[in-house]
Amino acid sequence: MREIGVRCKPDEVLITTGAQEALDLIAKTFINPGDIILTEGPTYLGALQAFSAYEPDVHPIPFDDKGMRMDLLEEELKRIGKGGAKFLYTIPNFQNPGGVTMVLERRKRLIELSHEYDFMIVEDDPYGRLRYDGGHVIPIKALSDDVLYLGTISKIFAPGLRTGWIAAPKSVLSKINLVKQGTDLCGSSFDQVVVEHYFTDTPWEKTLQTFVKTYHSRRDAMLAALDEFFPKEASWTHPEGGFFVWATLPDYVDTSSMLPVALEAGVTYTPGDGFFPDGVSGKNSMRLAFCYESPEHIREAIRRLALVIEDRLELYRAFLEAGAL
Amino acid sequence: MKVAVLMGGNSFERKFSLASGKRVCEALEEAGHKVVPLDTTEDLVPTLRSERPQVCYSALHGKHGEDGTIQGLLEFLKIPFVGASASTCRDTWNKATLPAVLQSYRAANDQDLTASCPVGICLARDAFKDMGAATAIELFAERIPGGYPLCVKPACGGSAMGVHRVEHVEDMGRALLDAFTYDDEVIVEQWIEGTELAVSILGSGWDAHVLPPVEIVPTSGLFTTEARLTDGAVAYISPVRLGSLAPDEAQAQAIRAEIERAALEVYHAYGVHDLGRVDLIWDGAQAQILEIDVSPGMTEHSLFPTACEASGLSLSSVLDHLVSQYA
Ligand SMILES: Cc1ncc(COP(=O)(O)O)c(C=O)c1O
Repeated sequence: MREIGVRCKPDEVLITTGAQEALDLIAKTFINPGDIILTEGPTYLGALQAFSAYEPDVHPIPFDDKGMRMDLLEEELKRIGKGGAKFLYTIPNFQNPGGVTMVLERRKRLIELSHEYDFMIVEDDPYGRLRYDGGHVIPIKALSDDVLYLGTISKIFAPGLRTGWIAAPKSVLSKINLVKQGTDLCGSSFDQVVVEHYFTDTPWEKTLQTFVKTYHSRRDAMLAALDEFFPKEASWTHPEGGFFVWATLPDYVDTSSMLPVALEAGVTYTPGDGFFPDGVSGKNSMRLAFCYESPEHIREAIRRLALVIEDRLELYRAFLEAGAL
Repeated sequence: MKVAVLMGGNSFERKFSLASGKRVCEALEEAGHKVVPLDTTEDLVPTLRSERPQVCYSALHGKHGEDGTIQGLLEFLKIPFVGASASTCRDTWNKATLPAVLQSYRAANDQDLTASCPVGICLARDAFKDMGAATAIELFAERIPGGYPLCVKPACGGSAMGVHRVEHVEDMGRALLDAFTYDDEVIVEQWIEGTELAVSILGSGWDAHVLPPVEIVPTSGLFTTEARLTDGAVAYISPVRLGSLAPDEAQAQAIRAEIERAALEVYHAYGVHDLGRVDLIWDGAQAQILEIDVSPGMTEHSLFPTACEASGLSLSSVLDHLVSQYA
């Protein structure tokens, strides 16, 4: 934590079974049915799933290439009033699914707003160490002790070891700890020993460098292929790290119904509507993951996907021109 | 016997097919057959040639499974298989063939048919993409008796994928676009209200006989793709409740007989053999045929196994009988 600019004592950290459990614990501890939760829109599907069991009212706030739009957040806060929102959930670095990073000024502004309108900030940061270019932006947690910061080893070591943590004020952690005891008493100590060994006795930083290099070349391959093949009507984010690019097509294209066609062409993606609480917004967007395939495969996949989109666009244009939509 | 069960494939209906195939394998094993499950990969032909099954059962659904592709291949390899021939499949695959097939069957037999089908229009994707057909969308209501609501569906393919009930001309564009996701041809036809039924048929030629019609009652809304895969989303009632056909029992019995006759007519008109399933709607006056399926679903939720059960047959004995003919 200190390396990324956060100072906290051991009793301000709680080990969890991955960041996913942390999301569930936070939801279980703090959400009452109907409570308002603010998130980026689109946001991490797993967070929406973790929250939804406790029946909150999730309000998504759009982002641009500088992260969550603070002007729109402020408008929303004005509408719901001081004390109206329970917490704000954000993935400030290389957001899932957006790929965008919240700039420092917005992080500062977010903290001001949290004081002004009295809500907690939950900062989920699984991808922070996977930066391919640009400079490190300090965590929101480093700017305010009150933030609940979620870390995980899933993206830098092994997701299967299910090890993450929450760094938060002691008073908050003690509440979450009670809930955790009711959930699983404690995490697996065997997994934690393995994790400790990895991060003390292996050259993990070197290993991480090789991951970063690999992902970097894949990200470059995807952005280059998007530039080369995607239709001019499409736009997409330019992530400086992480795993994902968020692409937006003209609003009459429905990426869910296009998916079977793409699958037939041998390409898959995640349709955008799943990343919104209403399941309807984002119908014309898609999440493209560059973490898994080789640069050559990524280029070919984007080429084929572009053909599928182009074909849909032609049909759509014909309907649009005829005034039939 | 050594039976190769083909399943999976890469159509939109892969999931269904894997579920059907699993059930078919279990049923055939129960009957004492040696089963070789096969997915349709690049190795399919070499594998079939080295495994030398005595007969094939195709549990493939959708494209390649029901359009004559796999049947044509098996005919070429001279491997006997259960179900309709390649040329029959090429006809049944495209639902737009139905009116003409019924018409020529009627002419050939010089008799009126019990089976009827919704009036519709089939249009190709290119007509919209390259020829401006989208400017004529308002004509559907004039061309199709009764006008809205209309049914929009892909001409080929099953499992209710891409099927829409369209209430107004304003919703027509979106429905067409979605249907074109699944096929290059789309049918716009009368929306038929009534009792939805599936009639499973076993046997060939004049030995073909119907199993009890299954009534399909979606517990909420439409009989959608999702509903077909979900427990409890749709109720199958077999045999059809007479009360769903007519208030009077004798009259309902007569209607049920009429429905069964209509289904058999379709089966014969296309020249299907071994097995098939005819989907139709009893609209209060006539059996309106929607389609015939030559590779009926065999999953836990499927209609064909439900019909077998209703007539006291186990799926295992039915499939055993079908494959054993080819010994
Ligand atoms: C934003 C975000 N938060 C949390 C998680 C879950 O992480 P973990 O494996 O530590 O539970 C993921 C995993 O994809 C993620 O993308």
